[in-house]
Amino acid sequence: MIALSVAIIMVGTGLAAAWAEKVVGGAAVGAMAEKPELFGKGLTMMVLPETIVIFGFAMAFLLMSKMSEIGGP
Amino acid sequence: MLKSKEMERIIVVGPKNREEDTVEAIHSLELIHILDFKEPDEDFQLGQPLTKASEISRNLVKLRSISNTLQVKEEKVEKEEEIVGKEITGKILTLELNINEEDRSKKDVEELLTDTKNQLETLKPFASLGLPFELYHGYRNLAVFVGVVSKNTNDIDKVTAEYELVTHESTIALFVPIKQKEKVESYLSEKNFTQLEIPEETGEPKEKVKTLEMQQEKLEKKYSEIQERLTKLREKHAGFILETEDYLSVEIEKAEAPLRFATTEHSFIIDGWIPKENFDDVNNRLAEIGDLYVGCVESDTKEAPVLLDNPKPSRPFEFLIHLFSTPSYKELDPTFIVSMIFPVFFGFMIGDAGYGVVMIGLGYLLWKKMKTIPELQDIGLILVMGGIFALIFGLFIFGEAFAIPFQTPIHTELPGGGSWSAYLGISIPIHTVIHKLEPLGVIDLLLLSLVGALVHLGIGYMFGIANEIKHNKKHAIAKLGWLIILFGLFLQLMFMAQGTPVGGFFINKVFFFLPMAGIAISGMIILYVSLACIIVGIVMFIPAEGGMAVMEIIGLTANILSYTRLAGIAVAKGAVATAFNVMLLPLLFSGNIGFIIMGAVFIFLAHAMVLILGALASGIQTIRLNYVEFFLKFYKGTGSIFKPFGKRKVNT
Repeated sequence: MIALSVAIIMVGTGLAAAWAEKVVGGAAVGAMAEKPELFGKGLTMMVLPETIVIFGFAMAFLLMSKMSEIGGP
Repeated sequence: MLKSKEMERIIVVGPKNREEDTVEAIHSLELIHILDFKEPDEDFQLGQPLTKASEISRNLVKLRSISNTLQVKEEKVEKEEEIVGKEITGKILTLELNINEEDRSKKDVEELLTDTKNQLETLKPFASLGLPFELYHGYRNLAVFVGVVSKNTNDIDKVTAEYELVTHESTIALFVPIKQKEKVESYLSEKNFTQLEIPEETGEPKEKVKTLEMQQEKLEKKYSEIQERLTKLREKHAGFILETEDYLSVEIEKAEAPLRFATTEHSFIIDGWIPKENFDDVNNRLAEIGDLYVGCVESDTKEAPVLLDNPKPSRPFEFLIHLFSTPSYKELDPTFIVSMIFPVFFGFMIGDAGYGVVMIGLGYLLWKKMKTIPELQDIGLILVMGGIFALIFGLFIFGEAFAIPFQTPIHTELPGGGSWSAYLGISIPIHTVIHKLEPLGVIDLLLLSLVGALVHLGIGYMFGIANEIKHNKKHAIAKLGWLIILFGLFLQLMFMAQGTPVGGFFINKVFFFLPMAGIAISGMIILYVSLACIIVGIVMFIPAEGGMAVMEIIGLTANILSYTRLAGIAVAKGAVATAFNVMLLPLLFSGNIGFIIMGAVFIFLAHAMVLILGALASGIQTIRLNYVEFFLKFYKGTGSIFKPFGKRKVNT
């Protein structure tokens, strides 16, 4: 059960972050084509959604450690 | 160190006959950031370029067109001897004459060549059909179809019995009575027929094609001859062209500088910023010219250009700051802190002695070999510093090189049971303190990341306090409130993890003096101290930021948790490298020469990939932590860079 939850967490957060970054990335590249000096700000915006997947990762590991405490999936 | 260089606004006033000397002097000084004069009125007008400007710009335009025709490229040529101003015009004129002639004939030949090729293209299908051109025209009762089909036309009998069909591969010439034209047209359109235009020619197509081919050959030969001559010209003159272009660009910049000055009928005024410490240098140099007035003007420094002032090891990181935004003159310059934190975070994520050493080497190479591209040199130095920390973390915390531990880990159920000590047969006295792939080790890494968050965000808030305290006490107090909340959250997180080595260390050794009691809310114990911190913080920021800012506490929690990416990348990279080792290392010990060589090659490639991807990911994530979590706590960055007149990007 826990293993399954971990898998769902990683897949879900991964997809969500990817989708969000797709949207932001497209807009950022567009803005950068107009104004190259926006690179720094663009990169910042671009990587914001990554936080989602990081949270997912942290949760996944907390769950996995629970799994090893209980002893097996 | 944390402040940018102090600036001073100066004006230089002098008579027009000293203008050229003055421009020359400030150009060589490279210290004055000239402010363009923008609002001419009755008393002051925009300056005129120096008299030599028009000649220089004419020469420069000619030279650039020559350089374009010859396709001179920067890197290939060695520099020639110093050039003298007067000879340039003559030399450029001769060169232009030579090259224009060649260029014109090159263009003529090119035109003829395309023409011939086009003609050949239209005639070739007719040549393949083999009918003389006369046969295609002049019928009263016949319709003629010449073109290309994509399907077989053998079944034409079904449409008409009266026809004459000549085919060659997919090209067809079809003659039918004119009254059946429409029927045949629809038949042909089913066969995807594309009509070819019949040229107004007479005679055998094959012969025409032959003559045209001969013509083409001749033209091509001529073309390559011209090309060869142009190449020779390029080789001969490239040095001169590049050198002169450089020289003239500098000269034109000088000659057009007065356009940025304010002038009256007989005098000129230069307005600009200089670093305060260099005032004497500027003053002394300008005094040599004579008849000039140099003075400081009281001015609001808000608009002053920014020249960052950092110790040498921190300077490579300045470009990261500019990439985000140049700090404004009045705020603190975060370069120094970034230069301290960046290598640590980077090294933590790589956390491998082997990769660390490779990175130090690569960074050193970049720095040594890329003299012409300062940005790459900076990246090289950053890589060296990151590599050093990767080495330190790899040796003293993770105890591994290329994802192979120095000593066999105690938990033998872990994948990749080997170790350097076992492989080399000597015991290396370096022990793994935290193992990246153990659940407990990962928890430790996550908590260490949170410590990074406390330090990094804490510094961010302190910078915020320092920036705000000068003009708005309320905002400064709000930042202090946030700092206290940060501490409260951190304490709570550590308390929740007090069963682990890192959490226990902080709760029992560092914060031992704080009471560890709390209230239980839905099964979770929340420390009184943390709660107090959060409440005090809220009280402190509400006057400046309003009640809605309470929601931002969730944002701050997210910021803190965001640092767990440090652990995330470290584990992911370690896992990938270990996976490669588990798959490929057995090849090395298989005893078969072929397998050993194959294994070595694969292991090299795999680790190169992990190294490159790891460095990229770690670099980007570290930049992000600095740009998003850190900078947003205090940084505004609306400054403009100090660009002294005369300083050039590429030094020749």
